[in-house]
Formats: sequence, structure tokens, C-alpha cells
Amino acid sequence: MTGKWGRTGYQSLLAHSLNALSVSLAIMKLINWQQDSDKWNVVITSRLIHDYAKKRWQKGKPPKALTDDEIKRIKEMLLEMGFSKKIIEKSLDLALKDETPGNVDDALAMIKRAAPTPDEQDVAILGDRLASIKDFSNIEHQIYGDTKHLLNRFGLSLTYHRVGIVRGITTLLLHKALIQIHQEHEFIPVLYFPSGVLYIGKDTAPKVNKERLLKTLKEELKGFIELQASSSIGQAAMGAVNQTPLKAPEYALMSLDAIQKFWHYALGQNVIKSPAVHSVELKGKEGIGRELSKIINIWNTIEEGEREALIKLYKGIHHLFVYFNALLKAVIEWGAKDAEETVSKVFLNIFGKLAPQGLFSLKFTTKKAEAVAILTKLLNSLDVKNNLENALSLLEPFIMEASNQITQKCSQEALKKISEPLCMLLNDLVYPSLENPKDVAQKSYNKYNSGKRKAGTPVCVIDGNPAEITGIAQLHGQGVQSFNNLLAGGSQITTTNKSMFCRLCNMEAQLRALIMSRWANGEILFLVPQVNSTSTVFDEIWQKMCTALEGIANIGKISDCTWWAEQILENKLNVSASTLFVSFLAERPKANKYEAFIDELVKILKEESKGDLTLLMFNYPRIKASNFREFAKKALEQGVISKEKIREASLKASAAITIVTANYGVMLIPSRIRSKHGDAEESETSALIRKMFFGTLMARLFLASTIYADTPLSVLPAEIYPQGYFRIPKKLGLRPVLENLNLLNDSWIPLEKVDEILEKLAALLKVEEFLGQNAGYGKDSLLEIATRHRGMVLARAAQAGKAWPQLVRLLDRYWDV
Amino acid sequence: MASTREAARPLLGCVGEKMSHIVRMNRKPPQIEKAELKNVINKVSKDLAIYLESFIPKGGATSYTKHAIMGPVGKLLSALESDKFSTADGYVGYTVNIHENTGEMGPKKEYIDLLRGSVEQLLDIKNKVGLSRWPKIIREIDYSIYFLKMKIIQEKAKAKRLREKGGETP
Repeated sequence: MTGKWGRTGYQSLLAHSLNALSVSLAIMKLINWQQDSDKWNVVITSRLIHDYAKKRWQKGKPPKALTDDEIKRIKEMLLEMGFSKKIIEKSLDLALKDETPGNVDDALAMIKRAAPTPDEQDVAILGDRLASIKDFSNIEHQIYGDTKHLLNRFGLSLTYHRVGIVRGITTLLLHKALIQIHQEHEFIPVLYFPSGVLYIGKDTAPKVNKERLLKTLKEELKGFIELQASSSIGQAAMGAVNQTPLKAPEYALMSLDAIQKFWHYALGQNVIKSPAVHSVELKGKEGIGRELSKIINIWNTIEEGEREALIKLYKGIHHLFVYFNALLKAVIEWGAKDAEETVSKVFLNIFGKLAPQGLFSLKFTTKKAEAVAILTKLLNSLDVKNNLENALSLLEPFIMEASNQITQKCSQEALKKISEPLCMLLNDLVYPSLENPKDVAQKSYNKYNSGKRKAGTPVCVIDGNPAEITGIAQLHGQGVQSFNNLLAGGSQITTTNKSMFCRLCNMEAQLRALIMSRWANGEILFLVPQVNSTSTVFDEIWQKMCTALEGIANIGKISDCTWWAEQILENKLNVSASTLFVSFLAERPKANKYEAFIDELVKILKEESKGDLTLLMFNYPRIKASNFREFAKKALEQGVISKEKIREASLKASAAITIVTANYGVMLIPSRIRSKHGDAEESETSALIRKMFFGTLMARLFLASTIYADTPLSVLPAEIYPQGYFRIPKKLGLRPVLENLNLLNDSWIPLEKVDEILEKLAALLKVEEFLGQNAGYGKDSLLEIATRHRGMVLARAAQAGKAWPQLVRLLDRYWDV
Repeated sequence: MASTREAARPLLGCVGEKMSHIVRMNRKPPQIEKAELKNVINKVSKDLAIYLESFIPKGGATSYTKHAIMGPVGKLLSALESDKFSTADGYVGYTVNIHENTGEMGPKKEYIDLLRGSVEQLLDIKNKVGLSRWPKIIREIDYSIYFLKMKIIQEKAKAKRLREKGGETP
């Protein structure tokens, strides 16, 4: 990949050419040039080739003048594309005369060419200049006064919007809302950055009204939830029965459709459908079992199976009402004081009896004796025998009807609750300012003057806003219960002293949870497109990339680094992206991972037996089954399925999801990129090497720059702008590895080194896999192999009898001699 | 309370009123560039791996341990590390003697020249790098030769298999 360097970083020549082309295209459309006219084609072709000479450039002064060979190659290329000789000559004239010559050679080459028309030249220069902007945080200084003057000549003007921090999904919504408002005023976006968008339009820049923006933002949010997350509302809203039963009641209660989906999901979960029964409960020594043994005199004489069914029945119904009552509590808190009365009426209407007293105040923490008494009354009044399934099917119509009625009372309130933090999101906007700058300054001054009113206001650990939400590990990520610098010094970390979050960060977490319930247990990768120009190019390239990304993510191979390493070492990634992905695009993710896993296993077994079940049973004589599915489940239980098959099936069943707009993409990877060595996880530094490989690979595949979020909810500061493929993590332990990879002085993986780095890291990962547990270096294996001499690694492998030619070849590829 | 400077005084070697001498280390900067050192290490490793081609253990190769693979060169490197001799001749004689005693036959003249060249280069860089770096360099050369020799063994094995199986790659 050839780079194009500048004062503020560099971009690939391909990305720069496409960006310059599309910006010029947008300008030509705005000034109503006839499509496919000569001047139209000249500008387009000239933008494609204008930096062709820079292919030779290695830093220092960039060459501009083309050699005879280069001119010949350009002519052939453009002729192949169907342009006439006349257009090609003119485009060469324009490509060489679109900037001031840097040296005598360039000046002489320019003199030889005919002069282009002023209009063509100005449109071409504008395309080039705007496409060269890399650091959007400093956009005011990146645009030359001369550029504005050139635009004015065509009756055009520039404007932009910019945010201070990049959060993830919420910032994407803000970008979309602002783009919509600008487009309504006929200002079209020409360059997209993670922290903002640059627009060109006729007339003066539109003034953004706060109320209007908020309204658009709410519409965007509603659209996002309906489009991206409607199927996973249940997962997102439902919490652990013994902790916070409802993580986000507002999402379950936002519409009748949502509440139906919530219960559809919840009723399918084991915590209600088939709760676990412990042996101590069966013996009547603990929990519900003990309470039941007190009221059933012959408890110990009942068969174990019956005792288990009875405990399951009580537990399942108890848990059902824990979730239902959590919903009820939320509704009452939001102002519907008569909600309990309503559900009581529904109970009476459906069952013709009054609900037992205390049923709607059952909690997980209710004393077991009390809970059992209430549930016994309920089960007796409904005449349910010892079967949880029957009891649930009997109670389901009540649960649904009652939930519908309480949802009707508060869906508006729920939507309001969801969109409340959006007001805080507007504070992220740096330009255009929604308030008079003088007022903002005055407010800050007054605040400063009045001093602190009280000490100890908790602040959000992510963005420093006033914090109101106590962290939940399942929602906000691991580490909410560990010390951070925003807690008081010396304070003890307990279950009541956790990290606090503001409502906006909480919303970001909830939106991510809507897409992937366990997102906080995995990795978050930000993808910043290098081709960041108008929607024409975006639709063609970036959108295709998203489809491809989704395709590979859905089959689960996405974070399997050793699999990717194999593809790289076998040169399989050298084919075009489309060819590569045709083979990857397989199936959509499944709601239930276990079932998805069984599906995959069935496929593997079918392949193995060529669809013949009798052959399979012949090979595994201990298992009798009537179909493949049953066979797979039984074989799993009996442990006769090989590890390789299990790995293959589980890999295929897991999935990663990416939310993408033209500004950037957020990839939610469901699990940590960290391998296991026995029971222990690999060390943090070794995991960083693995993450570096994966991040670089994604960047390379999709012509993007990638950055990992340090902690699940971390934000990207607006000052960060891509200066290569992947932002190298800075950790002292990683120093020798970076030294070996010649990356010690780089903060990003440079464009021109990417293939070499990928190959080296792929070889390293394969060596680690090759050594396995016997010859590896324990949980620090990857780091040890990366820093030791290859002869040392080989000697260790030889001791374990693994010094095979394949290992020698791999070591040769990693070590630079 | 004593100021930070006062509190730090004993650490700097001051005892009471009398100033004791601060221990100084005269660190000599390496007289060889990193890239040049790398080149020398690569060349010496390659030469010594070639030298090992001339070594056939008595009774043929019966073991593929590191000790067996390194043969007399392993002993040479140990001697160099512990500074056993002061001249190149001493090291060459020592290695050739081990070669003759443990191998089927002694090394030919061209191999002895290769050995002498390598030893001279190693003694030269020993004078240019500090004492503390010397064992690290020897260790690097040791593993480099081992790696190269293993590569040669595997290539030979592959060629042999190809000959036997009529061109089939393993």
C-alpha cells in the first residue's frame, strides 16, 4: 500500500484519489455541470491520476512530474476505462497543473503541458485540498482561506459539525441527525470523520436549532431501536433474577410489541422455564426445598423426581413473578399509581378469583417461607398439579394481558425515559454551538464565582458528567467494582461503592446491549474508513465493506485469530475482498446460542456421514437416536464428539456485530480476544499481541483505521485521527515485541508496513498454536515466543519432540535476520 | 520536618559532616554499531553452521539433542564465554582437538580456515562490546547456529525423502 504523507499524518494513495474524485464530483453536481460532459470527465480522470508519481515517494519532498513510463501506463489504464484520447491528454494537463511545483523537474513538466480551463482547475484543486484534510479536530486551521475563496467563486460555501468526544452508537445518532438537518438545507456532506462532517452547499450555512435537533435525534433513536434491536429487546431488558431482574425496564415497556418480545424471551429462559434444583434443596435442607418439606409431611418418602418437579414448579413461578413485579414496580415509580389495581383486575377477569395477597410484591429476597405460602395459595387457587410447564401455560395469558395494560399506561413515559439522556448528548456538540457562546462563558464564570456548593457529587467515570447510575458489571463491563481514580482515595471497594455512570453513558451501554446482550464481556473495535468522502463513494465501497463484515461476523470466524493467521500464511487474503467474502457469507446469527451450536454440530455430523444416520450410529454404537439433532445432543452428553468438531461448531455459532455509518463503525465482538491455557487466561501483554493482529487485519481488509476501546465504554477523544492502519497499544511489556517488528517509533502501524507486520504476527500466532500446551511457555506463551531467539524456541520444541519443518518455516517468517 | 534535599543526603553517600566518595561507573559506549554487530553475528553463525557440516560424530548421528547438534562448536562457544584462551590459535586448536576426538575424522583445511575467521571476528567484537553484553552475544550466536543447523538437517531429510518417494513432498 502506497502512502501519501502530509504535515498531519498520511493516507493511502488509493483512499486519497477516491476522496479527491468524489469531492470534485459533489462540487460539479452542486454547480450543475452536465454529467459526462468533457470537462466533467477531465476532472474525474485527473483526480484519479493526479498523485500517480507519489507511488515512488518515500518521505521527503513529494514528486509530481510523471516519467514517460508512468504516462504510458496512465494512458493505457484510462483507455481501458473507455475514455477518449482527447480527454486523457486534458486530464494529464490538469493532473500536472493542479498545484504549485515543488522543484525544477515538476516546474519543467508543468510547462510542457497545455493550460486547463480555470473552472476545471479550480474544481480539481478543491477536490484535492479538501480530500487532504486528515485532522478534523483542527478543522478551522486545516481549511485555507484560499479554498473558501475558490468555493465562493462557484457560489458555494463550507460548513461543518464537530463533536468533542466519540462515544459509539449515541454519537452515530447525533451525526445522523445533524446530517439530516444540513441536508434539508441543501448542504451535502462531502467528508466524514469520526468527530464530524464537512458540508458544501449553496447559500449560507444553516443555523441548527436545539429543539429541532432534539426532535430529529429522538426520531433517529426510535428508528435505530426498531431497525437494529427489535429482536433483542428481551435480552437487553432482562437481568439476573438474584441481582437486578430488569436492567432496563424502559426498553421492555416502550411499546406493546416490545413487551411481547420481552416475555417471549423471558419465558424461554431456564431461570423461569426450568430453574436449577440443588441436591440440598432436594433433601429439604435449604431454600424452597426446606420450606416445602415443612408443609409436606411425607417429603422424604416422595420420589426424588417428584420432589425435583415440585421445587422446579415453585421456583419457576417465583422467578416469573420476580420479573413481573419488577416491571410493575417500574410502572408505579413512573407515576401509574393504579398499576397494581389494574393487574389485580386482570387476574380476576382471567381466573375468576382474587389474586393471593402479597403476590404482586414478591421479590427474590422475600423470605422463602412467605414466598412458598403465597405461591401455594396461588397454585391451589389455580388448581395446578406438580408441573411447571402447565402452570406457565396457564399463567401466560394473564402475564401478557396484564403487561399489555400496564405498558399502555406508561409507554410514553418509557420512551421519554429512553430519550432523556439525549439532551446531555447535545453538550458533546462543539460546532455549531447551540447556545450563544457569550452565555456559555457567562454561565461558566458565574459557576466558578459561586464556588462549590457541596462536596462529593459523584461523577461519571467515563466522561465526568454528574453520575446517577451505579455500575452493573453485566451492562457496563467488568471492573465496575474495582478502584478507579474517581473514587475517594483510600475508599473501600464494596458492592455499595461501585463506579458511577451518567445517564448518557448508561444509555450508550443499553443501546449496545440491545444489539448484543453480552457486549460488555467482549471487545469493542472502532473502524474509521480511509475512504471518507461523499455518499456516492461511501455507498460503493464502505457499504460493501459493511455487508462483507456482517457476513464474516455472522459465521463466527471473526475473532478466531489462528484461523485468520492460517489464511494469511497461505496467501488466501490476496484475492479480492468480494471473492473472499462470497465464501464467507453463510448464515444469520441465531437467538439461542446453544441451539445454534447444535445446528452447526448437526451440519458437521451430516457432512461426516454424508447424510446417513445409520452410518453414524454404526460408527458410534453406544448412541441410539431417531434424528441427527437427537444424535448430536446425546453424543455431546456422552462426550464422544471430538474437541475439533466442538470447536468448529461453537466458532460458527458465535457472532460479532458491527454498526456502521459513513463516519465510523463500532464492532461489538462477543468475547475477549484472549486465548486460554488450561484454566488460566493468557497474560494481558500476550493478549495485546493477539489484539494487535486482529485489529490490523480488520483495518487491512476494509481499508480502515482501527482503534480498540480501552475499557468497554471508553470514548475516543476527538483529537485522535487515523495515521495508519492500527493504533499500537502502548505497554512497557510490549516494547521488545515492537522492537522486533520495527515499530518502536511508530504510534500507528504504517500503511507500507502492514502486510509485513500481518505476516509476522500470523507466523507468531501459528508458532504458539504449534507449540501447544506441552512446549509452550504457559499463559505468557505468545510474548515469550515473540521476544526469545528463534533457536531457543526451536530447542524447546525439540525437547518436546515438536521440531518439525513447519515450525522452522514459521520461525523463519517471524524473525528478521 | 527535614526538606526533601536533606532527607535524600544519606542516599547520596554523605555520612555526618564528612563527604564520602560517590561510586562512579565508567561506562564505555559500545564501539560497534547495532547493525554492524547484527551483520557479524549473522556471518559468524552462518560460517560456524557450515563448519559443522564437516563434523560427523563417531558412529554416525545417533541423537538430535542440542548438545549433539552443536558438536565442537558448542564447546568453542562455552570456552569463548568463559575466556578460556587469549589467542585465536588457542580456541581453534581446542575446537579442532575436540572435533578429532569426537568425530569420524578431523576437519579439512578450508573448514579450519572458516573456523579461524569466525573466532577472529568474535574476539574482535569481544573487544568492542562491554563485558556485560558478551555472554548475551554468545548466547545469541549459539541459538542462531542451532537454528541454522536444524534447518540444514531438515532440508537434507526432506531431500532424502523426496529421493526415496520419487518426488513426493512430505
